[in-house]
Amino acid sequence: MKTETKDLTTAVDAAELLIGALPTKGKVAVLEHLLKQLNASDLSGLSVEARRALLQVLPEPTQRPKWQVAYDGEFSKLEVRPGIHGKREVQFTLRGGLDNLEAACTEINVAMQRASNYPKGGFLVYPSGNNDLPSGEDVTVTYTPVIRDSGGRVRFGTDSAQSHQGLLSSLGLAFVNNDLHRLACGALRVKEGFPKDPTQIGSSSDKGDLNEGRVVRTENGSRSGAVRSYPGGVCDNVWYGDDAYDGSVVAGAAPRN
Amino acid sequence: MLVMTKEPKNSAEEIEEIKRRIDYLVRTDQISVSDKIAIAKKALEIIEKSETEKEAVQ
Repeated sequence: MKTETKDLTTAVDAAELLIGALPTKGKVAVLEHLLKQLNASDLSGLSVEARRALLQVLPEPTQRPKWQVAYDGEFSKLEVRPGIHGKREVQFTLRGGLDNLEAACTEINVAMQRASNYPKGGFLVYPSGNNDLPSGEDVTVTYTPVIRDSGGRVRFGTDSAQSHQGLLSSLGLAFVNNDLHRLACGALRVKEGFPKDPTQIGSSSDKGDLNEGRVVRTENGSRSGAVRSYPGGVCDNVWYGDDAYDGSVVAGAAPRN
Repeated sequence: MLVMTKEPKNSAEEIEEIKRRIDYLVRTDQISVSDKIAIAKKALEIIEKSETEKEAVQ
């Protein structure tokens, strides 16, 4: 059998092969060195040809991903798109504002029942009594759910106005046992944050983090890609009892509240 | 009347765009490390070649 070998005719070939064979750490070190050099380069004296060649080689910054419609109803619309660090951004539109609030709630509740992870106990969206919403015009709210780690540090969505509380009050909505993020996941049949590594799953001895998106063990021991919601939709950093899923809803388990 | 040949109208813009793209290359996590290395190497080659040519002319 003929074996193909690469001639090491030039130093460049050798360097290519060496870089290719490096472990990730080594590659990152090489990359950091190259990027430093690139950043320090004086670009003002470049020829026209060189500038054009650089524009050919350097990648154009990509546009933000487009919104994907999770569901599109008569009175409301829910869209999601990948946000930072793989978390999802959610955009909710209430068509006609306050005028359609109740109709939108009914519509959302029906839409949620079609979700693959709709809990046995059900959940509801209802008007919260906020009358500050404008009438007759669309209200759109975009948010990234606030995620905190076990130390209470905010990891994603540092703007408190983007929190559940801000979202819900600005929409005039309140959610029982769920949140828009989970609705989006259910409607798209996406089990976000579902780890392959079982050690990442919370158990009775390791409660895990009170985070959204944290995967916890359900009552029957099965794994579930749950998106945690908090009583009143507000993450207040309080530990809710012994069970990892107390005070929250876990997909596949009947909600307690 | 002497008419000056215009520099490509957007040379400053081109430089700005190049800087913007370098910045993107540094920051993005949508490009793998290997691809970033290849792109950075190629870009440095172009810059070095341009500098060498400039020195040769001088």
